[in-house]
Amino acid sequence: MKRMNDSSERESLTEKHERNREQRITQIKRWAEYISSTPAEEWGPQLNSLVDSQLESARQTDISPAQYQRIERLSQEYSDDT
Amino acid sequence: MGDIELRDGTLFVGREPNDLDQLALDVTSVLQDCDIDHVLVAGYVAILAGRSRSTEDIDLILEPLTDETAEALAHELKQSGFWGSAMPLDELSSMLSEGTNIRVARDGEVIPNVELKYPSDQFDRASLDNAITARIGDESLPIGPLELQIAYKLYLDTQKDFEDAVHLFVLFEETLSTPELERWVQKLGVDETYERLQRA
Repeated sequence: MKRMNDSSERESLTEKHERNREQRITQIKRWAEYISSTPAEEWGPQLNSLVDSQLESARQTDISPAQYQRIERLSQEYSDDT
Repeated sequence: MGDIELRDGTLFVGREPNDLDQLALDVTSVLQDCDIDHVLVAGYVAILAGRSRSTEDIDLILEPLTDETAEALAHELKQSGFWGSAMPLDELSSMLSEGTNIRVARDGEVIPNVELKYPSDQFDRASLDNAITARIGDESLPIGPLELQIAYKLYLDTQKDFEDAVHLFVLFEETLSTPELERWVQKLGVDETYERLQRA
């Protein structure tokens, strides 16, 4: 019975992730359609604000070169394994 | 009329440059001053083309350097306010030759950075040899051909890479060269992922 529950939970998780993935793709297509039909004065500042604020947050973590390299290496190893 | 288009082999980006673009422009300017062929590839190309995400590093492929040119590049980078955030720029030539990528950032910063590397396969080489121009503000950047960028993203096929491919494909579907895209899809053996992209 336990196994059945685990299996059904896994299926439910898979469905949820698939639904999330599809929603993200829909959102990306909407954004692409928006920027191809809207003047850059509208979408440019939105995009630049997103990029600049993420970089500013990253800068504020004050990460050391060694820490950054370690994160990058682990991230690469994870990507290679998956 | 979205102020972003691929026309006659040039990507026109109508928005103002952000911090990431400015880093790419500044490093590219140093490489141009040193007369070094180079090209920007991967995630940054998608972001330049309006993908709504950020990245901490910009991938840049450059032509293998002589010791003399490498020395001149290291000097110019330092003079322009950059440092090697992972290792000293003085080791640029030997590290690149050994296949170790070099990270260049503004003095004292780690993020964002530009990761310099030599071409290591036919796809890197093709990006370098077939670079197109991206225009942003009054400046220009060499970027890898979009058809190859999309196919390579399909090859990598992480969620982020597939989403980048969707963005570029949807945005430039009418102006991309389909034969060229499909040639790279075949070379990379990503036909199934390409079908998934077309259905997305």
